[in-house]
Amino acid sequence: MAPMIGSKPKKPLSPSVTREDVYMPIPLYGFLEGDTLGLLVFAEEVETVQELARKLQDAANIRVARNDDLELLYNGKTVDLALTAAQAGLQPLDRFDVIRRHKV
Amino acid sequence: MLNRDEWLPLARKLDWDYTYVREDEVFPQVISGHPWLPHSEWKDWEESFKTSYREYVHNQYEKDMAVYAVRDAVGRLENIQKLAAPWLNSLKVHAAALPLAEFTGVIGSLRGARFGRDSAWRTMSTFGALDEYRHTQIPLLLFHQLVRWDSQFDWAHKFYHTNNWFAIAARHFFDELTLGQNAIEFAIGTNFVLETGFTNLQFVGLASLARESSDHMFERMVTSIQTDEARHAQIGHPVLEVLMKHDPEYVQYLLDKWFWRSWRTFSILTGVSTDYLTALEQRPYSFKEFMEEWIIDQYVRMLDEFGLKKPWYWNIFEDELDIYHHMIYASAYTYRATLWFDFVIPSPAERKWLRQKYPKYWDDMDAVWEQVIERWRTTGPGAANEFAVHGTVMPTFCDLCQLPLSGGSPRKNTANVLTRDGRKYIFCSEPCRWIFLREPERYANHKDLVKRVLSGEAPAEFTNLLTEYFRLTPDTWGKDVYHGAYDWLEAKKASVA
Repeated sequence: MAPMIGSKPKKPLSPSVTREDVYMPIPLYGFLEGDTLGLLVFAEEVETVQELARKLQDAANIRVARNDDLELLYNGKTVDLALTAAQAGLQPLDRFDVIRRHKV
Repeated sequence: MLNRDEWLPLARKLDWDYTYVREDEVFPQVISGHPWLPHSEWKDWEESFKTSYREYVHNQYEKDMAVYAVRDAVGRLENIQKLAAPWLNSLKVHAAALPLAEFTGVIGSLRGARFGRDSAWRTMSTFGALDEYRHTQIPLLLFHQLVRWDSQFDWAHKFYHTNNWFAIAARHFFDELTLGQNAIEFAIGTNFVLETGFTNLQFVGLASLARESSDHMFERMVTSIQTDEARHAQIGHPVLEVLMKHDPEYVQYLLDKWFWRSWRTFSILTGVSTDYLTALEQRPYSFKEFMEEWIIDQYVRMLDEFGLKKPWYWNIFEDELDIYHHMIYASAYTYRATLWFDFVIPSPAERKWLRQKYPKYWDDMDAVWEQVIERWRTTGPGAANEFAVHGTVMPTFCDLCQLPLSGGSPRKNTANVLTRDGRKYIFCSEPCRWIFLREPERYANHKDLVKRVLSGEAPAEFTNLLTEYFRLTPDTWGKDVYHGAYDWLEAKKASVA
């Protein structure tokens, strides 16, 4: 089965790998509407908020049915799904919520 | 010769004035507790049982013999093997959570036996320590015979020695409440709130569940323990009376803190046993009904008696009666391999009963179970499919209670983040955050499981986490009791087809 979160690398990084090549995933507390607990989700700085929302949905899918019409809330505000995690300003160990989009 | 009523006070009230040392050196505040008061303020301390040592030994001997007699008559392996599978798992939960927690009660009681501020208090605490030692040894003895049949019962002794997530939470609770506590806070937190408020009545309720489930061994054991609890829990009342004269605000704080912390632990153990691990036809009441009838009324009466207020979070607490243990059970089912006992999915009849008992949130909870069932329907039943119907991403935990972030409801989780001294903390609820902020120096350095994983202290890889850190094995980690092979699920699948 898939590891719970990324395992530590078994070997040291190659000397040719520069610091810029090493990304640091951002650990976040994700809460999906309809779920019974929060989950630890890692955001890549370059991935979009939409991808992050889907990641949480996949992680919680055993308890919550999939829904394509989603929005992501961070600090109580809706975040543009096209932004990257870095652009959205997500910081390690922050909370974000994924909810069903409110119909206007 | 003096009669009993004449010599008993002489044997229990043994305080004297110190000549060579100061009283505050004999009873330092750091270990006797706040507020520090001269003995003249404690000299009228009294409780109603007034037991002598001779009477104590005689009574306890009789009670032990009664437990042994029931064990010999109906507590043999063949009797236990006849019990319903879900109830057996309620036994495993209590077998692990109870005995060594009681042992921490020995330590806390002994602190009262030395640093309690009146000799009658110290006498009673000595009996309390002996009680708690008995409550450690009896379940260890009774459950030990089951280990050769089912290795999950080995957790009766093993549980608190592991870093299982629930053991981390239980240790966080008992380390503060009992092991490391001063005599006054122990008397308020343990004797008054936990024992008088919760466990004394919990054991009455548990005995009733065990009787309905035909588990007469467990029924006798908890009944025997309850009679001890009813006696030594009385220590809290007279301590509270003295404190109310000198620092009622501190009393209110201690009660509010320990009521919340006790509720968290209690709701998981008793809520899950009552509403999920007892067969439907054997449930005498729902957990919420039990709480309302046995716990809440009595606790509110006790508060009124002392002129104390309900905790500021009472509305949150009342709301949680409808939902918290359901959130925890559904979460734990989908992470069952992280625990040492097995789980069941509530059947359609049970879900109908739960909807009737918990109408406020059941629609949301039912959707969760429908999704879990759909997963079993897709994969098909069988032990080999256990992990296909299981969470794979790290769950998250509260930085105060160390339990999963399952506060609130499926629609709105109440977890909240706090940044303090450059560090981030997350709490499952407002009361947990409030407790943390009242005594941050006490809690700030304790790492929850997520932070242990992120810092490399605990393995990140799932199987390693289960085996190396939680000390589980493929034999002992939790599964679905029926591996998804439920008659009603098969019938529904056939009807769908």
